[in-house]
Amino acid sequence: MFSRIFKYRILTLLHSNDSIFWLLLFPILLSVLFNLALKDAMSGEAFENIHIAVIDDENFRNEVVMKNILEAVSVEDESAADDNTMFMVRYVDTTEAEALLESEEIDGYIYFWQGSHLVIRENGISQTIIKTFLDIAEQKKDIFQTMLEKNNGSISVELMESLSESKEYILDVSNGRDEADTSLPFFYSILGMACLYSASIGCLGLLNIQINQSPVAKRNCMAPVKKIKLMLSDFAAYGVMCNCIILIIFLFISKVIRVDFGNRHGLILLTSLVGSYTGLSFGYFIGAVIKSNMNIKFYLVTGISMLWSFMAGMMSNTIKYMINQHAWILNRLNPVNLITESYYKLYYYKDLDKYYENLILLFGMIVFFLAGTALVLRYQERNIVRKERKEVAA
Amino acid sequence: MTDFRMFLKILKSKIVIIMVYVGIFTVMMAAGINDDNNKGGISYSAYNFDIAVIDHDNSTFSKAITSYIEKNMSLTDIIQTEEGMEDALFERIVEYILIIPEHYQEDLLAGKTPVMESKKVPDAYGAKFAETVISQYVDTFYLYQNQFDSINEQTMGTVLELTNQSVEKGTDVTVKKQSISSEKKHMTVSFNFAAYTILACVIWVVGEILSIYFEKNISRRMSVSPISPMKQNMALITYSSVTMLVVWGISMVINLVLLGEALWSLSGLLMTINMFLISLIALACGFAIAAIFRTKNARNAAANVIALAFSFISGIFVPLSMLSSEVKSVAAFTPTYWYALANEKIGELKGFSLPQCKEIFQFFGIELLFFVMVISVGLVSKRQGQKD
Repeated sequence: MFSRIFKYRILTLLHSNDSIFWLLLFPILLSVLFNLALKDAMSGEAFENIHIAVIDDENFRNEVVMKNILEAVSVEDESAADDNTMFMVRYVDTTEAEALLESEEIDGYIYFWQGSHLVIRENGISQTIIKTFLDIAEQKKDIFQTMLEKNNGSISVELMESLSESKEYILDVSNGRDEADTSLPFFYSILGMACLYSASIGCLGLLNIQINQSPVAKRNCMAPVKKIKLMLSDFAAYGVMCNCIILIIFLFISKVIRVDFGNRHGLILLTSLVGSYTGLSFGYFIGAVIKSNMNIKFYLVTGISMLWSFMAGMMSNTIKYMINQHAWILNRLNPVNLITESYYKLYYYKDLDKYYENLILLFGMIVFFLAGTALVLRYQERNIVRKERKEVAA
Repeated sequence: MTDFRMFLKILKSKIVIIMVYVGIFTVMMAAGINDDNNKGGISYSAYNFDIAVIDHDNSTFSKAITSYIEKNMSLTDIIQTEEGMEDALFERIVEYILIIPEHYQEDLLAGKTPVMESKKVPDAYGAKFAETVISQYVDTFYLYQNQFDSINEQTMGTVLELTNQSVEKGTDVTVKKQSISSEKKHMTVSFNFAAYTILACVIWVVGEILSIYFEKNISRRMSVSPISPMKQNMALITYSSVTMLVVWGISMVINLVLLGEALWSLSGLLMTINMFLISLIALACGFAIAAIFRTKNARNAAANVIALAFSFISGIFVPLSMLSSEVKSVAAFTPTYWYALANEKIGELKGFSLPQCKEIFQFFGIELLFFVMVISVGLVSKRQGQKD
């Protein structure tokens, strides 16, 4: 009987275009759209040499300190650039510099006349860096001149050294990993959302066994099968389907869109499976607790899943961080966040303590939702029997 | 009038879901428009890189350097645990974190050369910038400190004063082009995002209501009535525009609350007209979907796919400047691309200039053509459906 129910539940689900669209096609479509929109948006943050021009006139040729400072961090030929290079420089006259600026071939040009001056087309990141560099150079020049005046025209070798090169006063204690792609959490949250969308199947599953909810449930309950067996076979069938769907989405995101999940394949698989069971059990719980019709339940689980996805950073990563900062408990109770964060921990962290903590929380949620469902069903069934007995007695 | 009352009755039954939809998107819209790192105008303004300082020392020196950093960059609060810091860097909440250890000033006064610690996003502009600026401050501090034989609490104040004076000197900057003001940027982002709300709500609601009229039996009854199909279609489109106006009105009120006085300008007026045009297109899409898709689930899926796909690829969620040229060439076949482009141009508008306005009106024209095209598809599909 178990295998028969199992088989038919799978077939029913396969024939439900609606479920297949929302559980499988919608997350896939969303990941394609994320990829189209975020692919270029997230790739522009790595530092590249800034293109500038310097007006090569009498004033520039007379500059000593600023000229040296500028030349130390600039190259004219791209192939000569090294780690210290900040600027790709062109030495031109004012007319050419204006033309280069207008055509956006350079971010700004520098001219010297009683100090250095910067001309930019509009404010921006590169322009801020050029301006800050010139500020620092001017400050160094100013200190140099002050020291020179203070020491009657002579300057010690020690002071000269400290003026010309910066010592290491800041120790880099970054984790040593390469730059991580910021778009990753968006894709992880799609998987989190897809796991929670399994809740709609959970609601459907309960509809098949709750006598007061559908004619199918009434027929099912008339069958000579124990209710627990019915529920378990449903849960197993839906669980297998949800797992398969999540795995297809995962494979699509990782292999077709080429989103990096790291190389802890076993644990990634485990997270996907636990995630989809969390969604499914949440659906069973909502199905049992809410007495309204299927549409309301469906809207409710979809709405809650969307809200959780929003809180988990699907629309904006700052939202997630803000919640973690000010109301962290909300995110510890948010299964979409726990799933999303688990993928991220597996990808980014060496230490997996937090990942296991997330996994335990997800297991806890599954147990809570299923135990809650069983209790509510038991209570509802007793109530029905009690009512019927009263009616018979009356 | 009777059929209009019927239409309103159906609309009333959907009003809760419209409010829920608009409510959710308002929160997202408000969250989205507050993300701005640059002031506008013709004068120079530095780009505000996000950086965090974790000050374990809480001394005169640490306060002075923190205040200097605050002047040059945007100081951001982060969770001060190891994991919180890593997450802040990963999520790009900040690109650089400076950690000032305990007893830093004590070590300075003792003549040692203590080090601060940093965590950063490798190769990021913000990290490079922060490192340069902070190193300059510390370098200058040490240069002045070396001028004194020994350093104590009192001389520390003098050295910091000299350092602060020195690092304040800057280069003169000329800006050629007026940058878009943050007010206009907010307006563009807000109006862009409103397109998603309008598309999602109007397509779905219009589709749901009109599908009742396009239902087989009702459609048959309507076709034997003495009113011509043309008149019937015109009536349905007019009634649907009530729904569209409700959603458009709600979005306008939200924009008014979020943007305030900025809306009472030429740019505000043009963006309002632009939003009206995209609402018309959403109405046409709703009509077409109701005529093409017979089941509720299919209509629901189609409405979501259209709203999301259009918004993602055509500059509604991500600015057009950040999209690749391939995506943009596909996006040119969607009305939202022209809507976003028009908003961008309106944002750049400096007063009323005919050549600039001409371009904007061309975009409005293209949007109107999209409306005509989609509504024609809807009318043809409806007629085809009736024939079948």
